Amino acid sequence: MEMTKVSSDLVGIKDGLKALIVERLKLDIEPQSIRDDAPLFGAAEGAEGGLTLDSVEALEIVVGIEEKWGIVIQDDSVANEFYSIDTLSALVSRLLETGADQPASEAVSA
Amino acid sequence: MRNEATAAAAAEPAADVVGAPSLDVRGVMRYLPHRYPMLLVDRIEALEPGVSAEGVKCVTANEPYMAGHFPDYPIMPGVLIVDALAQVAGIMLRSRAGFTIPPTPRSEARPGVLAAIQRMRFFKPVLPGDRLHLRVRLLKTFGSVHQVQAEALVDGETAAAGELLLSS
Repeated sequence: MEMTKVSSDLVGIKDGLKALIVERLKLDIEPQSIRDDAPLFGAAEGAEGGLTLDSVEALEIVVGIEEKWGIVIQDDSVANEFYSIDTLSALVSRLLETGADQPASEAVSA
Repeated sequence: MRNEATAAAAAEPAADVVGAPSLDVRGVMRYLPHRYPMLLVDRIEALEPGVSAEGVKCVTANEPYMAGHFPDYPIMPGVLIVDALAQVAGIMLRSRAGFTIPPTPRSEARPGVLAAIQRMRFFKPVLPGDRLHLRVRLLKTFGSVHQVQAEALVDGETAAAGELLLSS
């Protein structure tokens, strides 16, 4: 039961993230064309379907997420959580549950 | 002991200004690589490293840009107000890093190069004789990008206000 609730939330979060990214960065693409597992940032090799966003755009996304979901994203979640729609939605979902940010290492270390 | 302290102060003139609540123009130049005609901060009157800063720029009719902006109506270009704010923001960021001039040549402008002007509005012209009060506050740091709230006032009235992104 809990699982169902979380996964349906996750879909909503992913759609919300895609819409936010396209709108906030004024990208000329359809939100649904962003793949959940594609790298969002940098010119990663073999990054098929990646957006190659930069550090300024990352901060725009952070501010957008904070406004949209009323959460706070700390500076230490950069590398692991700011990778794809999959990892970002997991971060947002976790922050919505805990109500506060925790170091990315806690979620990853296990 | 007294001699040691004096010698240390002479050898390390920057030490006494790091973390100090105010900086004169020599202190400003220890943090900023900018020089004439682009040093747009005369003084720092309040400084909380990495949090906020307040600076002053006294505008005169002798500013080099007044000759052409405009010949019959000298006003300070808005982009230079933005850069003056960015310079104060740079001091706010650099003072947190404990970072004074001269570091290595390549890093002289960092942290604190403008990455984006997110939003900026200009409310009134800045004229010769105006004392421009430059206020900045760090809103957010994410990765190497710092989001700063910035406001320039003359006689307590907002001349320009907005948000800047600075990179480090």
